[in-house]
Amino acid sequence: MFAKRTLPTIIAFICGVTVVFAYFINVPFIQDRAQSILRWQAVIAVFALGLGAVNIIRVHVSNIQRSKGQNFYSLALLITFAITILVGVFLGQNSTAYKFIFDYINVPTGSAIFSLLAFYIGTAAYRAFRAKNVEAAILLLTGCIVMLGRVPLGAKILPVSVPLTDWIMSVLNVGGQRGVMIAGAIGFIAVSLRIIVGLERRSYGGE
Amino acid sequence: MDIFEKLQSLDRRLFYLLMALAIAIPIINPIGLPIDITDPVKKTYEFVESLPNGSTVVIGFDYEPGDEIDLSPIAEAVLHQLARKNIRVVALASFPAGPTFAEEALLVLEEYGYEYGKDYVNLGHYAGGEPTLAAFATDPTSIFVRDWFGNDVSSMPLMKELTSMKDFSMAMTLNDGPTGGTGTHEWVRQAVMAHDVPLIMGVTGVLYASNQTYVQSGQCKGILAGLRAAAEYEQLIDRKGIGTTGMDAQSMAHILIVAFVILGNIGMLMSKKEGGRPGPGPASKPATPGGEGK
Repeated sequence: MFAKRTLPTIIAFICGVTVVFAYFINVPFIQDRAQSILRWQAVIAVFALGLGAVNIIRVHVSNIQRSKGQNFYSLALLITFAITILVGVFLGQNSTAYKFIFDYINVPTGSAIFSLLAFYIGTAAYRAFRAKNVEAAILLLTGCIVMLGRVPLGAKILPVSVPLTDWIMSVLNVGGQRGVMIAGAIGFIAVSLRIIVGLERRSYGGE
Repeated sequence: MDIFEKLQSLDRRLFYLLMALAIAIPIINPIGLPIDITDPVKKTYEFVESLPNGSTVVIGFDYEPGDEIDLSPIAEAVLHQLARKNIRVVALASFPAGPTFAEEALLVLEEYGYEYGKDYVNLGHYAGGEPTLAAFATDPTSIFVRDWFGNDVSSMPLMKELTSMKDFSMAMTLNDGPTGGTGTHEWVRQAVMAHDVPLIMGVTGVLYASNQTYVQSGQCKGILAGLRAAAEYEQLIDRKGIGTTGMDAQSMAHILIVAFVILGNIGMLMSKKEGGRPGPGPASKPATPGGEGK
């Protein structure tokens, strides 16, 4: 119980309070302690990356075992994962081989997957933007104005779309975004305080 | 099925084909549509122009390969302007792919005779997001012992001059969101709020909406959103690149989507007028990948 709950709570409390105080109060002793905690955090985060890698391997090895070697995608992931790590570790991140993997596999596949959005969002807009009622008509109109106002050809076809887009983005959008951000920040502070004082049990592996 | 009903349920493969053509043709054969300079881009340009010559800036390459096309052109355009003012650059990245993008973008500086270690540095990737950025902001050399190429950071003339974030005349983040890295909110907290360093952002088109709040509040001195901003910036620095070429394709893609939306609505309204039934909407044909009917 002590090692699972009490000790992590004490550590979280000391670290949290020190870093928060250091943000607001300029006392060299607290500043130094906070800087040490932040450096420790960076080291722990690197271990977390390693843990993530181990977790990916476990999940996909288990996938392959359960499907008796039929899970092609998990196998492909593990092979490319191993190749990339081996090349990165033994040849270095600035080697020709690593750059080849990055420039000719990683970037193109990442961009290709992201660019598929143009096709799917396009058909989604075509099917969803129907003026079936007043609310849907407002959504449709706003979407079309912003789409036209954000590109040069749209601005030439409908010049009024540019000032209207600016107004939508800087008045309607910002008003809504501010509300969401402020509410989110207040919630974030509340959860952080609960973690620091040990009330948020899930952060320590509890239910 | 009459023409108006057909307009409501056009084959998605037709849309895919037209979209592919609308993007590919302008890239292969650029149209050269005139691009007007918008206020946010102009203000960002003017802010960078107002920085003291020879000062130092920090740039976060906080994006993944999927957003490279939106953000790398912005990085290169801004780096050209910085180089013309002899401003030194420190690059770092919160995503593992970031240092490679930084390395490619920083090649721009070599055109202007910049020397590595003295005029610019690529520090590489840091794990841990905002807390690590906070540690960097307080003491840059405490987090990075070696740079992206494995060199000792403390021996570099540029890094010897840096004691905290306050030594930078500007911070910039090229950002595609906080998931897995350091987001724009974190940069506002650590650069602007904690150290009072002016911040500009280069963000993907979709992040423009949420980050407008920081521009209006004055916490962010400038925002460059997506390929459009890169294209405008390229005009301001008088150096055309992928941003300008890409805008033709983006224009055509947007117009195609709007045209399809209009066709769908004409079909629906005319069907209603003739007493027919509205065609299939989003409920009967979900538009998610793999979820659509033929």
